[in-house]
Order: sequence, then C-alpha cells, then structure tokens
Amino acid sequence: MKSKKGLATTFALVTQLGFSMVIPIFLCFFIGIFLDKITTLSPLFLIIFIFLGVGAAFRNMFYIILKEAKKGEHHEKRDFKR
Amino acid sequence: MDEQLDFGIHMIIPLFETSDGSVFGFTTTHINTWIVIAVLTIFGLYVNAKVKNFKTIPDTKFQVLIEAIVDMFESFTASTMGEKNKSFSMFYGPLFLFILLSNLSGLVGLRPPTADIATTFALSLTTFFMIQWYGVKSKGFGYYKELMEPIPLLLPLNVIGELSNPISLSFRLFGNILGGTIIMGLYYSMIPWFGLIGIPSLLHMYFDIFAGALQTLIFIMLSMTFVSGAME
Repeated sequence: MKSKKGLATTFALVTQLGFSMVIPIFLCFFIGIFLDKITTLSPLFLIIFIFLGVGAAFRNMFYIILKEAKKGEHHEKRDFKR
Repeated sequence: MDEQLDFGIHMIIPLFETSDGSVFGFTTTHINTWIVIAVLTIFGLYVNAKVKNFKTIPDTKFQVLIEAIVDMFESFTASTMGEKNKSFSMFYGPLFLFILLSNLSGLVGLRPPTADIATTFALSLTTFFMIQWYGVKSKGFGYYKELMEPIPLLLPLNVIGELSNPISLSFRLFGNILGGTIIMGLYYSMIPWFGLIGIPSLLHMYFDIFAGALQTLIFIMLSMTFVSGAME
C-alpha cells in the first residue's frame, strides 16, 4: 500500500514537470512584454526575461527531480538496512 | 447546434456596470460554488448531529463509513507530509471534498466551478501563502535565505520558480476540467441523436469521474508536497 502511495506522489510530481517548465517561460514572457510596453527599451526586457524564464524552468525541473532522487536514495538505504 | 453549444461562464445576477461596459455580478461559477458549499455544509451538519451518538466501538454502518473517511485522510496526509504533520488532514480533507465535488458537479449538469481559472487560482494561492507561512514558521525569515542558494546570483530564478508554483497548480486543474467541459459541450452539440445513446455516459465517466478524481488527488498531493517541503 505504501509503495502505491509513493508511486502516486511520484506520478503527481512527474506529470507536474511539463507545467513547471512551461509556466515560468510564459510568466516571464508576459512580464517582459509588459515592461517593454511601459518603458521604451523594447525588446530588451523581453529578451532578458525569456532567458530568466528558461533558467527558472530548468531550476524547477532540477528541484523536482532532485526531490524524487533523494526520496529514492532514502528508500534504497531503508531497504538495505532491512 | 448553437443553442446547445454552451460551455461558457454566464452572468446570472448582474450587480453593476462600470464606465467601460464591464458588468460585475454573480456568475455561474459563484452559483455552482454555492451549491457545492451548501451540499458539503448540509453533509457536515448531518455528520455533526450524528457524531454525538457515536460509540467507542462503532455499532452503525454510518459511523464506520465516517471513521473510514477520516482515517483515510489522516493516513494519506501522514504518508505524504510525514507523521508529525498529520493534523493538516483537517485542512486538506475538506479541500479534497470541495474540489472533488466541484469536478463531479458536471455529472448533474452544472458547470464545474473548477473550470473557472478564478476558483483554481484562489485555491492555489491558498497553497502559496501556506508555503510562505509554514516556511517562515518553521525556519524563521532564514527561509527566504534559501532563495539565494546555491549562489546569490540565482535569486531571480528562484523567485520566478517559486512564483510559478501556484500558477502551474491552478492551470493544471483548470485546464483539465475545462478541457473535459468543452469536449462534452462539443459532443452534445455536434453529434446526431443516435450518438447520444450510451456513449456520453462513457465520456462522462472519463472526463468527469476519472479525470476529476485524478486531478483532485494530484492537486492535493502537490499542495501537500510543497507545504511539507517548505517545512523540511
């Protein structure tokens, strides 16, 4: 039963990967467009924020995978002790 | 066809109009949310009235059912957030029921309140503020120092990453439920009469029951993971 719950959590996190990657890019894209509109530096902010968005997307993916990897390590250690 | 092709949000009770022509009032989302809240409140009051007669050793099926539901939420919370955070089941249990009932409300012909970005965004904002509150509560303001890890240069990326969490949570639930609502609306409006025998029940089973329950579970599980992650 416990492994099924672990599987469900992993499934939830893995299916979140796509959203975690797309949302920061779109968020930064719109922030960039907004800042370009209120300043006269177009397309400076758009370019900066798209790079930031891509970076944040990779950061999110890294954290989600890291979390799962740590959990896997913890389970392996626990099984080894047994 | 156009008469049946209806999956949008409608203004039910208009209150006032602004100078630019926007109308403020109560929409289908408000009304359907109130219906869901009313059903849950009636259920809660009924259980509350019955709880006074509950025995230490259950002697009615109803008591067994209620205890099983409470126990299920507690063990689910304990397995996701850890044994010491089991008390969060008091928040996540009702939230689970609210989202589940909202998603399933499409079965009785209501437009699911979760097919409105305002509802799902409000729900995910709750998670966002809980992450901040419990992060600060367990680690003090040093919690925000973690945004500068591993190097301070990554601060903007970490801030954007944190801000995108509630948005991705809300879009996921909203997109899945709205997708189901649109597909069902299109199906009902475009298929001839013989297509409306039997097949819609299978589609409802998938889009309303399966996707609705799965997305509820995922929303709650991710919210629990984020909040417990902030406390670790």
